[in-house]
Amino acid sequence: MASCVAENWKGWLVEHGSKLLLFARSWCQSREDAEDLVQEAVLKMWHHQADRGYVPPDLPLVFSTIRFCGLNFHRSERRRKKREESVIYLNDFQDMWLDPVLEDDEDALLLRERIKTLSPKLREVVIMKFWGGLTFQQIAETLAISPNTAASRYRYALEQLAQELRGIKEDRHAKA
Amino acid sequence: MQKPDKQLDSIEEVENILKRLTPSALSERATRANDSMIDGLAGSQSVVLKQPARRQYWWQAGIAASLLAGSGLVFWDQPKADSLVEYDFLNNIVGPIEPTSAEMWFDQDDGNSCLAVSYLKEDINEIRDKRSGLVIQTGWREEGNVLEETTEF
Repeated sequence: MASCVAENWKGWLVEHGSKLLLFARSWCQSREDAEDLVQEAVLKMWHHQADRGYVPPDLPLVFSTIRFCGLNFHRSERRRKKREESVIYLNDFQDMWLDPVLEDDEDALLLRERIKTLSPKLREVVIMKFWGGLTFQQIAETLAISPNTAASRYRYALEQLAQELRGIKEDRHAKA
Repeated sequence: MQKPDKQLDSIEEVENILKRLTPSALSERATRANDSMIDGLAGSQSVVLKQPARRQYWWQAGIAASLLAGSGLVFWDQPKADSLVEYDFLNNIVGPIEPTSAEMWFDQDDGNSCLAVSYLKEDINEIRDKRSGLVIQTGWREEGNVLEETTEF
């Protein structure tokens, strides 16, 4: 019984782990921190699902939990950085949130970078909608906003990405 | 200001490009950590944790209480003369009661923990066949778990 439950959860993580990690990345500076955040959320979910027969949870709830853990993490991280202001942090520039399906997909690589620069409010909606597969209604419940606001943010984010993509392409044409 | 249909094209184009990006998978380190955590959580759900020695004998009191409650029922349930006239009821023996597991901690649904032990109990009735005079032992073995009262931390 216990091993069956464990296998269910592991399978569930194999299926959804990457989506959760992507969402967690918005809250953390490094991949490792994001993975820890996912783990923390999974632990909370485990206890939460105890009353529900330890069935793996629905995604909207997990996104919501990661967001909650992320807020806490962000607060403690700010405090930590204040204490350690003199330390120089090195970024891992090979550490990517998203992988292109095809190699040398120029547009995909461009957008990958631009997604990181979206404001957190827009980015979280795009991630939940596009890669999380949540409906606007589910996103609205996760973020405690109206479905219309969720849809507007999504549309606005994509418009912003489209505009930036056009700008970059026009620049290239002009240089060429 | 762009025309609305042009904007729509752009959004669709962006969506098509986003489809060509997939979220990076969890690292091996994270996967191992999660798997190990899940195994641990699932394991603790069903059993384990050695208990302090001072609680060593609590289960005996638990079983004794169960038996006291049960013995009344056994007595009440003895063969009646008019229905089983061919047998005489001689004796009821509660056989050896043995713990069949170490004491274990269980996590309950309400988040509290409780201590439990599995036991094996034998309950034997001695009866005599009036016609043949043979004394017969009938009985059953009962396996069960005794739980201690809830412990809140």
